[in-house]
Amino acid sequence: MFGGLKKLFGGKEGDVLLSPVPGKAIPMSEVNDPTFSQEILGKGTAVIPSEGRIAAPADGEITMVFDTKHAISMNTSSGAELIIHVGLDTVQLKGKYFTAHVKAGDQVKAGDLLLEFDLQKIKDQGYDVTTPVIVCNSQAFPGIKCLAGMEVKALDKIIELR
Amino acid sequence: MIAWEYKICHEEGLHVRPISYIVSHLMKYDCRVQVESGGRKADGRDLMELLALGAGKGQMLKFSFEGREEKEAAEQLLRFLPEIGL
Repeated sequence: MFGGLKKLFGGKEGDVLLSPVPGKAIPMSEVNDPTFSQEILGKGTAVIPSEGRIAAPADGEITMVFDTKHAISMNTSSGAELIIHVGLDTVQLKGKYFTAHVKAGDQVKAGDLLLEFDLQKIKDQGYDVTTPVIVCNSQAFPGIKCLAGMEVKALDKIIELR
Repeated sequence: MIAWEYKICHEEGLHVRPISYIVSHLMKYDCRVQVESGGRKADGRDLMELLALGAGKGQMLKFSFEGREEKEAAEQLLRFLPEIGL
């Protein structure tokens, strides 16, 4: 399906994914939701955010902004198909407390602002704000390394694709 | 080939959770599956394509199964969809 993007565009810099948000990086297996923890969607790293803004983890193109604005999918210039999903079950908020700053088709650079959200209000509503960053086509990256167990600043490395 | 339609009852429509269950379920069968909704088509075993359908509550999904295990895949999925609350 996304066959045209399989080729590398450049050197090593494109082969890593950066944390979209500052916070604590945890292994996907520790996420409190089997949809993510069982890696049905793919491998990745989750970040418990300390701020309510999501930046692009890599250069690439936005493929979809969910109607409810709590998740974004993008293709990176290294060929990774990513989903960044803010919080667990946050689809139930139906978009409240989320603001999207991009739309499908936008070209982005690593660090560009994608989403903002009201972290405190979402927590106050009782939602877990853990944010999985998932490489949906992780089978295309047999050497993928997902880093976890550390505090991260926005744009610290969290995943090595190769 | 087997085909049937299913109306989405879930508030949040065809979102990440039901899609992940559908995909991991269909992977078990030797069968191609196509899902149509709102004039768009998706490979029933491809997460991103299913998400891109953007199918919401009240919309119809048309499933088409073709392959050696089409009968089992279709029967099991039909039983499975209400169980996952779609």
